[in-house]
Amino acid sequence: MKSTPSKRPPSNAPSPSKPFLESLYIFNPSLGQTDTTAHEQIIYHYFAANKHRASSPPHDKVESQHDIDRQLRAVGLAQGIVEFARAFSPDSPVQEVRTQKGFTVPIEVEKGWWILAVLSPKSIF
Amino acid sequence: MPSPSPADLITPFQLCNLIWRAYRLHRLQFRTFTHLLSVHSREFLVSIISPYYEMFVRELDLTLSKNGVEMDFDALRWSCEPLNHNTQRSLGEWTRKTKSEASDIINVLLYRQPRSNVPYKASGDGLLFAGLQDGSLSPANIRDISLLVSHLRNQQVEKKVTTNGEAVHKRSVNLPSASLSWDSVVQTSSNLFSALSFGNLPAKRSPLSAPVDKETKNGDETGMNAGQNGNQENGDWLIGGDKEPKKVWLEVTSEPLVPISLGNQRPGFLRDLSNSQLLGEDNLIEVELSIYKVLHILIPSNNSTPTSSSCSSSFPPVSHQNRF
Repeated sequence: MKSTPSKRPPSNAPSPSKPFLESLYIFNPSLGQTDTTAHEQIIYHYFAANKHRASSPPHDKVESQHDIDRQLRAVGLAQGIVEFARAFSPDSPVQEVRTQKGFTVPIEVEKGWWILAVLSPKSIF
Repeated sequence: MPSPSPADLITPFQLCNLIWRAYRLHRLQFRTFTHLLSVHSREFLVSIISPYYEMFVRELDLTLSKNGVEMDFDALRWSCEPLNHNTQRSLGEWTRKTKSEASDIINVLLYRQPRSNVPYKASGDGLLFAGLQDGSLSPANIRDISLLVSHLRNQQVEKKVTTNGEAVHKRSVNLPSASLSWDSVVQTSSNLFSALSFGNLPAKRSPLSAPVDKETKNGDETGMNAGQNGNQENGDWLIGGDKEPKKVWLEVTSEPLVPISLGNQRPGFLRDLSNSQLLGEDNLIEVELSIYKVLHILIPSNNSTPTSSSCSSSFPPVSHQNRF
């Protein structure tokens, strides 16, 4: 599903030598089906702004609530888009989502297991 | 005019392929997510996969940032055009006949000699034919086969040591135009296939870049590998051999084409089902592939459209097969 064509940023955009990948998530929605366990569905995430980030165990206090919320928003948005598009195309899932902020690639590598990659516009153009 | 930034080459499709490749290698190494979670705890799963994907992310950034990124993307930019119907039928008949004479042959793969090429343009070489499969190969088939062979090649390269004891980590060539020095070439007769349109395969992923197995070369009793025309590149067997058979995994789906999963080691998630025909949790079954090297044998030029007999004459006898 391609929603909105991307547009090029101003000429003062950062160099493409900066990391292109904004974030990467590996998650399984069935692992966290309640609000209190939602974070457990993400077993790995990378966020370029933080330079790295292996997913923390559920009891890791280092992980800030802000970061967790950000992860859940990204994952939840991807799931929402995938489910929404599934209604129109049950046999051919969403392959990419293009926005003005870049593009997102959700891949169901195994049944229920997703890898979600987000590329930011600053790094694309 | 400055050349376009490598970043401009990034597309979701390319990113998707890179992720799939990473996942398939992960599956080869650690088994599936589902299996890991069913056997181990979530914490163990995280501890296993985190370092792997950390490395993937770092390498991905480097891959996307470096100047030569277009070469990597060139490896993903290819298409698959099957052999024409007559040729496929001829090769299929030959393959089935050969298999009937040697029951241990599961499949036959043919590869084409590389051609010089220009950057950004997919090279016109690679896998031509997967014998016993009906129909053409999908792009996923070819990608996975190339990944398999690439994986095998890396393992073999690690064993090589120079005369002064220094380890050699030889990599496959990056530039399609510089790929003429590939170690081994499994090729069909140029006369046989010159008029045909073949599927493309990226140069750096191509099985043609795999080194020659020394044992296999020594085991080639007829010396058909390079002796006929004196050209080492035109005569070597690919890799593998009876002493170390290679295996791949076929994914059984409702699709007419059979995607081939990579790996030369048996995935653990299939281990419990080895003696049955039941499918694994991800619909994979194990098979062994035999790869034949087709020598550069000249065929009279009037055979522009190959027949079954002409195909047979261009293939090595069964005794010269390599199991893969």
